[in-house]
Order: sequence, then C-alpha cells, then structure tokens
Amino acid sequence: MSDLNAKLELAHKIAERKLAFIRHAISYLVVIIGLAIINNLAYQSEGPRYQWWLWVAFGWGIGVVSHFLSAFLYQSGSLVEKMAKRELEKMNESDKT
Amino acid sequence: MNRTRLSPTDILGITLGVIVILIVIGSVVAITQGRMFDIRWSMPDLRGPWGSIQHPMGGPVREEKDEKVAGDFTEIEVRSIAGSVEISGTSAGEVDVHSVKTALFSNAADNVHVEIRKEGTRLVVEEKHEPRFFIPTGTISFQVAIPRGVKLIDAHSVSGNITVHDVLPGIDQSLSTISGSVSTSRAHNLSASSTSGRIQFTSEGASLNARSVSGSIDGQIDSLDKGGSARLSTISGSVALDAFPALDARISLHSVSGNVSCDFPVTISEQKNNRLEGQIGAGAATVDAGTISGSIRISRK
Repeated sequence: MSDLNAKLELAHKIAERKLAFIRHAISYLVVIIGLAIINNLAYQSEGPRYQWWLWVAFGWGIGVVSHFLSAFLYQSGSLVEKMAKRELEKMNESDKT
Repeated sequence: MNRTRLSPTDILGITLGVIVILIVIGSVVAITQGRMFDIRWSMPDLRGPWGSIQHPMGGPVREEKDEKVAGDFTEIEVRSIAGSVEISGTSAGEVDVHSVKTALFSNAADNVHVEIRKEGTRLVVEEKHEPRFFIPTGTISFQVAIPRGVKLIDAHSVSGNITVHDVLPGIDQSLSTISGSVSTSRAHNLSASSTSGRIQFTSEGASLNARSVSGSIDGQIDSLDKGGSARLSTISGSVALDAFPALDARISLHSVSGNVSCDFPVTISEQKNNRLEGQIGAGAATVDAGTISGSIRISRK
C-alpha cells in the first residue's frame, strides 16, 4: 500500500513538473514572438534594424531548455534511483569481500 | 520489451522543448553571424545590452573620406539615416563632401556606403544601406561644403541632426529630420521640420515654414517679403520668434494651453485667452504660429 502511495506521489510530482514546463515554454514563446514583432514592426525607420530580441531568446531559452531537461529526461528520479542502486550493489560487493 | 506510451501532454511538452532548443540554437547562430565554429572568428563581434566586445581582429570601425565634386550645381541634396548632416559654405569652386563612417565592426561597415550622383544641376549625396537582416549596419555623418552658385539646400535625416552654417545668403533651404534637431542660419525661404527635435533658424525671404511635433521652435526673422508668409507650428513645444523691427504682417497666434505674447504694436482684430489675431503695420505679409501646449512669443530684435 505504501509502495502504491509512493508511486502515486511520484506520478503527481512528474505531472506537475511537466505542466510547469509547458506553461513556462508557452509564456517563453509568446513573449519572444511579441518582442520579435516589436523589434521589427514598431519604430519603423529606414535601414535594417538591430535584432536585440535574439539576446532575450538566447538567455531565457537556456533556462527553458534546462527546465525541459529536468521535466522530461530526469523526470522520474530514475537517475537517482539507478545511481542509488549501483551504490548499494557496490556496498554489497565490498561487504562480501 | 516494455514500451512507454506517450500521452498528448508528453507530446506537447516534448514538441515545445524541441522548438525552444531550435530557437536557442538559431539565436546563437544569428548573434554570432554563423561564425561560432570558425576558429579565426572564435571571438566574434558581439553587441549586447552591456555595450560591445572588441574583436581581436578589429573592433569598432571609423572611416573618413573626402571627395571633391566639380560642377555647376545649383541644388545640393544630402540624405542620411542616423548620421548628422552639416552643411557650410566654401570659397572653393567645387563641392567638398567629407563623410565619416562609424560601425561596431568591419562587417557592419561594409553594409553602408556613400553614393554621390549628379542629376543635371543637382548633386545628390546619400547614405546607402545594403540591408542584411541580422547584422546591424554602420552610420555615416556628412560634412558638405558648398560653393557659390548653389541656390537650394535639401537635407534630410532620419535620426541625425541637421546643421547649416556659414553659407552665402539667398540660398533656399529644405531641412527635415525625424528625431534630430535642425539648426540653420541665413536661410532664404526656409522649410524646416522635425518630429521630436528642436528647430533653430535665422531666415529671410518670402517663405518660412517650420514644423515640429514635440520640439520647440526658436528663430529669428531678418526680413519677410511683402506677400510672404511665415508658418510655425508645433504640438508640445513652444515658439519663440525674434523679428526685424520693420515687420509688416498680419499675425495669427494661437495656443491651446500656453501663453501668447507679441512685443510689436498690434492692431488687434481678435483676442481670446490664448489666441491673438491682428495686424502689425499694413499687414503686407502673414505670420501664423500655433502650438497645443507650449507658449508663443514674438519679440522685436
């Protein structure tokens, strides 16, 4: 029963992380598209404009990508579990010897 | 084999993640102008919110160029975008075009050049850009010396200042900029406009036209021909005019929220809160000045 509870809790945590990432990514896209429009449509003047919005897209983008990686690749804590298992196996082996 | 089925939320999340990764990679390529894997350009010219990082191969560029153009020109046209325009007189028989090109780096400097062309008796000096989407371009400032015989100066800039000084009298001038200021002396039949900059002038002749949106207008009228007109208008700036003592004109001064005053003896035909209409002398010319939130003052020189 406690195992089921733990799994439920983990599933809840994973779903929350994924939804948080989706919200983050959508707000990123909306803001970046808005800034790109402002950069290229507002303050119309002759000559090409400097694309300052790319700096925001780059800087914030790194943050969003890290959020993506944590939400989808290391989502279940499986990496921690695997590492913990390996450490346990090592301990057992050293105990045997 | 145990396969995990992806839910629609997973698919949406992964799609968004991939899109963001592509945007980040694209922005890096655009910012570094595709040179991030080129060893020679391992430190590209970057311009960020903090200013600029100097490139080991160069960095900011400043190029000065002097060109003399011979010919019997009666009209000079100068067009710049962000650079300033300065026009003065010269005793030499040819037009001297001194241009200063500035850019953050050589690549940007290559995108802009000076074009000088003759169109009959008109000489056109122009800043030309070759637009490349992600690369900021340089700017060119002009200093043009004009010889005797020129009858019209036509200067335009988008964000640069325009200055005309030490020119011979009797030259008509048409000067316009959007966010720069305009300053001229000895203008004959002047037309000056700026959207957010200040206009300063000394004028004579039959026609004076000065327009600004948020800048003030500050000028001196040395003479105004009979039948001539002076029109000065701004939205949020003030108008200050020093006129020659023998001014002979019908005047119409109106401000929405500012003060209106005139030092000349005026035969008033209409005077309300911020409005003054009347006549100075016989009313041979017309002086019309208007503003929304600034004041208007006509004083005697």
